[in-house]
Amino acid sequence: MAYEVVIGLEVHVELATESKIFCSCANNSAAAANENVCPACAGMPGLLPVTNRAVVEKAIAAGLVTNCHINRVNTFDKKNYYYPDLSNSYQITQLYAPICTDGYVEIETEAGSKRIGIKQIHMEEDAGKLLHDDLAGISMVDYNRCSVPLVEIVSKPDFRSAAEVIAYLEKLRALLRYAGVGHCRMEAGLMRADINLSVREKGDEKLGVRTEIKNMNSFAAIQKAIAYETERHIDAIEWDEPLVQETRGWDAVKNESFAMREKENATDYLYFPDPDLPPVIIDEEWIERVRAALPEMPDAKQARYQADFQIKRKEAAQLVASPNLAAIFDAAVAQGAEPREAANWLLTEALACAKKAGQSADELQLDPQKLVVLLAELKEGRLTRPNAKLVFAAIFEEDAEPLAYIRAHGLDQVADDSAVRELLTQIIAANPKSVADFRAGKTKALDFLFGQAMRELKGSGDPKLIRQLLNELLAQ
Amino acid sequence: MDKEKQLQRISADRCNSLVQFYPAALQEMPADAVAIVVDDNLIQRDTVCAAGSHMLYSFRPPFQAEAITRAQAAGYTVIGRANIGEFNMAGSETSWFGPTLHPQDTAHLTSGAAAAVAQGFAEAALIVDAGGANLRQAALGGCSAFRPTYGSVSRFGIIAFLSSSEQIGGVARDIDTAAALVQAVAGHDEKDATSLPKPQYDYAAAADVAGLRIALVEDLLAAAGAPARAATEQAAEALAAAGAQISRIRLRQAALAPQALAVMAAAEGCNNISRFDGVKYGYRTANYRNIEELYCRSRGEAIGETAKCLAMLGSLVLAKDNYEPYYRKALQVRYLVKQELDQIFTSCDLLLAPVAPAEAPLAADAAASPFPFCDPAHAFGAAATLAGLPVAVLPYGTAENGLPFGLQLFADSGHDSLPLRAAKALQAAPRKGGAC
Ligand SMILES: [Zn+2]
Repeated sequence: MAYEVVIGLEVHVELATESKIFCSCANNSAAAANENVCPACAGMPGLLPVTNRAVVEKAIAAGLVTNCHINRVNTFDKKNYYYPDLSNSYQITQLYAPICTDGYVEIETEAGSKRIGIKQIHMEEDAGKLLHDDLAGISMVDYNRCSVPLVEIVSKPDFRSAAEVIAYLEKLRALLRYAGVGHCRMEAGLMRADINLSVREKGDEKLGVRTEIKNMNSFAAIQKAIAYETERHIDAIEWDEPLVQETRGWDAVKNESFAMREKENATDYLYFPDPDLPPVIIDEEWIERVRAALPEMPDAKQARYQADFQIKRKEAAQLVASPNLAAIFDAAVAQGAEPREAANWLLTEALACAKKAGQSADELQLDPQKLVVLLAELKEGRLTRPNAKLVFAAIFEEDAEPLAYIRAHGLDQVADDSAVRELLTQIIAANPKSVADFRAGKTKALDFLFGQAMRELKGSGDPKLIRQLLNELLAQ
Repeated sequence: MDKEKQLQRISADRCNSLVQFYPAALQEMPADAVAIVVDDNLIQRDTVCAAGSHMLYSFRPPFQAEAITRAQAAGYTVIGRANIGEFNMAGSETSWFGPTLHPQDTAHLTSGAAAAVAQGFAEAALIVDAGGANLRQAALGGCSAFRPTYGSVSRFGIIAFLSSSEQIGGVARDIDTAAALVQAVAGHDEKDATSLPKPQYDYAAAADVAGLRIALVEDLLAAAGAPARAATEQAAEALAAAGAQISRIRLRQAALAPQALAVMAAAEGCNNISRFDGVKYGYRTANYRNIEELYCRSRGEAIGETAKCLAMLGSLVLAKDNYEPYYRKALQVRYLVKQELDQIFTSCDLLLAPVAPAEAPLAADAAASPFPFCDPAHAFGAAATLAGLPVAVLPYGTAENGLPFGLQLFADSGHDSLPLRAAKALQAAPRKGGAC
């Protein structure tokens, strides 16, 4: 029998704002435990939430890049549950009037392109973190992440494969990073996904029993979890075993999903509108201001690289995958770098250097102006390619000034041909056999002499000049 | 004022007015400063702020209520904290510190603020009125009080119970002093998102009711006992004598206000005290093996009966299947109440009603039900509270046992000077029966 998996995603993205959503603490959950905490986010009574307008702006941006409708009247609701990392014992979220609705994201897989519907995007606050000391048998709580702003992006159940899910997450991540909504680093928990999955017979209208796998934070785990859960559903259907609608967790060690405690499936969150927060009204003007501030989005950028610069599709995609890399590239090109050469250096040398330093494409730092100078030296023939790589490494590692570095390390192309002539004369004198071979018609002998010369010049010789001079001297 | 004598009087208080007294503050107070007490649910820096609950017996916040900061800046000195019911959810009989007794007759109850002011321990009290109950206790305790339009005074620093409608007010022996204190603390505060952008806070109105259209609320008159009703009728006569036009109205939608307010109070109260979980501050049980036990026992041991019942009721009205028929319905009723009152205020300026069916309750009767809404007096403050209206209350008329009855005057939002004008006029008018 043929089965079809139907998947919907709920993606949580931490917003890259300066401060938290309802208090003025810094939004930096990586700081030392409980460093960014005030009475409000530590759950003391007497404090009132005040909505951070930057959060609303980021949420509007998230809606715009996912083609959503932005709602005019935005209200907040309280979601009640007890857990020690939730300092107030309730989370402020948007249940009844989410900020964005009815959007979509275009994805591309090997099967072609497809539109994934977005049901809604809503704003909410994050909870803190628990730290367990198993040796001492105690648990400690870090409230740094309490009240850090999030958007939850709820897709429609439009996915039919893990490949579509991954393509969507990659696309969503790129869109949100370009729009400055969030850093979306999954490994740091800045982007997390809940997977809603059901399986039905192909052709069926009715959806199968749905399970939700919570808190996935790596593409690899998501792929495995979808494969595992699909298999589990099919197995249950084939053997006519009961499937329960439930929330499940993912065990990344055993590579299997497991049912969460009954309690978490039975919680009633006692939602109600937050009386402390008046509605946030979003007018057209505000939306247009956010729209105008959006940079060029990755699709448009990639198309431009391919059309204007004749950069190959794969390379263009690789460049735009990182907003940082694309920004360096754009700046270098704007300052006169030859686009294909710049792309080539960024995708090979820059990424290799970054990898060596343990940095991602987004973290690598490179002064585009220095790349421009380096490429100009190379183009003008004042620098050899091997030496250019050395200079590049120095720029990357110590932010060296390319011209000063070239001079200080004697990497200039050796242009003074009297010195080269002198050296070549010596080499010819020291290798009579090769000279004889050459004159006897063995052209390979010239390569040997050339190699000797290049070695002596430590790569700074101009190969064309050396060959020309060698021929000239040997002809005498 | 003889400070030593004052200090001795406060220390010898037999009514349990204050849960904390700062003798040093009283002694070091500048000559031109005005002594006030504040309700125990108003947060004061580096002082235990318990809100009448064992749960917060050790809670010392590192910040302060905006209203206290503004009062201090205006020359008021806080000399103590007044007793309130636990989390201000009910009368002082639910306070962990024990009930506050009525200074005129200790068989009856009142609030800490009313008892402290009536006995002259302080010139005025900064109170948090929830549902009209604190205003009622002030009037029945022999004091005048004023609660401005919702949003006039910042709620920053209230240990919250009824967030959607509680509002800070002033209590004093005369309405002018109460209004002056409110004037000092009112004004926009960006720390409170529900704070009015430009609150109207000219409370220094004259005692002038000439031409004011004042309507007696028939429903509330009918709900009051005959003596309290008679006192309100007398007040209407006095206002008429001073030049007001008196009429009578009946409430339709607003008659549902008490039930709607009860639902909202339960829901918001439940939610507001859920942060008291024994994890971060305040009371924690000594006896737990896991987080569930820590929660249940800490809350079970330190939260009183009334607050527990209210929280249970709150969980009930917010439960998934009950949200629509209860909580959402209450929001709809609030909307209708506002609409009806808006309509009423097109043809009259002020509403006049008793604050309660009778005088201050007997201590022996108070514990009859753990639900504060079962108290018939709850109905009297509901409509004005749900609509966030400005209210002035004052003692008026006397029961057989010598305790005062209370009156309330309320106007449309933003027309805060109207109830003050009428209250001042009544205060100045000659009265039949004993003056309070
Ligand atoms: Zn904070």
